[in-house]
Amino acid sequence: MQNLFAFFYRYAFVFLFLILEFVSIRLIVSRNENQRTIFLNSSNLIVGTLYERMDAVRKYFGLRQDNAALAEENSRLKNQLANLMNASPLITDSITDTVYRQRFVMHAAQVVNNSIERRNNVMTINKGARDGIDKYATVVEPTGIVGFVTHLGIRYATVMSILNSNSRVSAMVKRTSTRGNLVWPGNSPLIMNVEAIPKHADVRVGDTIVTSSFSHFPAGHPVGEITKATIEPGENFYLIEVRLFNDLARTNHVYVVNDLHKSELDSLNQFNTQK
Amino acid sequence: MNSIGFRHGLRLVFLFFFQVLVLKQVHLNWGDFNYISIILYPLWILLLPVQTARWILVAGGFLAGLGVDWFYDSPGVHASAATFTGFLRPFILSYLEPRGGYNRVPIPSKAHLGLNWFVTYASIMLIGYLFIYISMEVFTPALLGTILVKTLFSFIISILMVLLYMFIFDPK
Repeated sequence: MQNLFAFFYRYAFVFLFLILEFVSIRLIVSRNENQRTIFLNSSNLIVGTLYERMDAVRKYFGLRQDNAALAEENSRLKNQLANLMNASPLITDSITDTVYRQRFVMHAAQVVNNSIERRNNVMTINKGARDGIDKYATVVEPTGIVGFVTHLGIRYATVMSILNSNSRVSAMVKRTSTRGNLVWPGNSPLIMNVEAIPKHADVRVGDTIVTSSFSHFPAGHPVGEITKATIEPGENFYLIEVRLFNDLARTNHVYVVNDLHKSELDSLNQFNTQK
Repeated sequence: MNSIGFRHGLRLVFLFFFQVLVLKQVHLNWGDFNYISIILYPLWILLLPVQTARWILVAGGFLAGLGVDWFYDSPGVHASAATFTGFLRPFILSYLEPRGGYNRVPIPSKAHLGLNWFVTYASIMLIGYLFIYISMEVFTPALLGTILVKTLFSFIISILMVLLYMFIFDPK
């Protein structure tokens, strides 16, 4: 018995070493999963609350326009609902795809912090993980698209605006379904470019651009109207300028769109790129 | 005894804050070359008295590492490396034991055991620290090449910092 105690006493530091290494690795692993977001959230919570307080004042001045826009949207949605009731007894707040299985879930949110003047614009919305927002969910408003969720706090989320050099949205010409990439050249917050539409495609000034089914936005969501479509000499692709339907400087009420099929689509895409 | 404890405490405080307030802000990267982290604070573990109990080395390393992690926002990464360094120290010391033993040597420093001895000792300990630290940070064995390259470049800069510290604060 005394030998046993002596043994433990002699090698206590080994046990201590193993225990402390175990604790450290537990910390590292939990960091990998959520420790970072916990740090990020706590700061986001402070920053987000501050922004929301400040924003409350500013919102008073836009109440009239907001009300009008919301009432308009309500009436349009009620029309759709009436149509839906005839087709099926199921009432949802979601867009159903062609096989009538729910793909998108929308959460209403408000923009509490926004910028449009930088090259890489980011906004903050007042919904977060607690409200069921997914990471990389898309953000739209009734008249156009807004951006992607990039960082998820508990009550707030950071959204990469489409007015950002890293933002690329697959969009298409509504009339012909020709697909291209919507990017922001960085000047006016109302003008974006559509790239990679080949010159043999039929594109006219005045055509409507909507999101394509390649994007994680709900397919067919309005984006803007083509104001300029030219082909530079020697180029194979159109140079297309699109005037957005929505003014991101005024964006206030938005919908965060969770894509229920996202993980499946992503794993398939990953499989494709892994040769 | 108290004054020795005070000296080691002071060294810990200095190295700790120098690490998190100064060295953390230094980014030695050019373009794609982004392999260097400068790590100096494990020197505190290296310079503890030779007779320090092993469990103090292990626990002290863990706490110092955890404190650095707090500033680096990387819970557990520095802690695991510093715990390992504390654990490693007695084995390296007995491996490098000079002919006369450590009888008249209070701390394993350059001034007491000579530059050659100290460089060997510090190199082994620092490589041990950096390898564990960078492995834990990368956290996937698939990137072993990256881990080794980062360990090598970080080691070159860090050992220079260690020697600089020794020449300033431990001359002779």
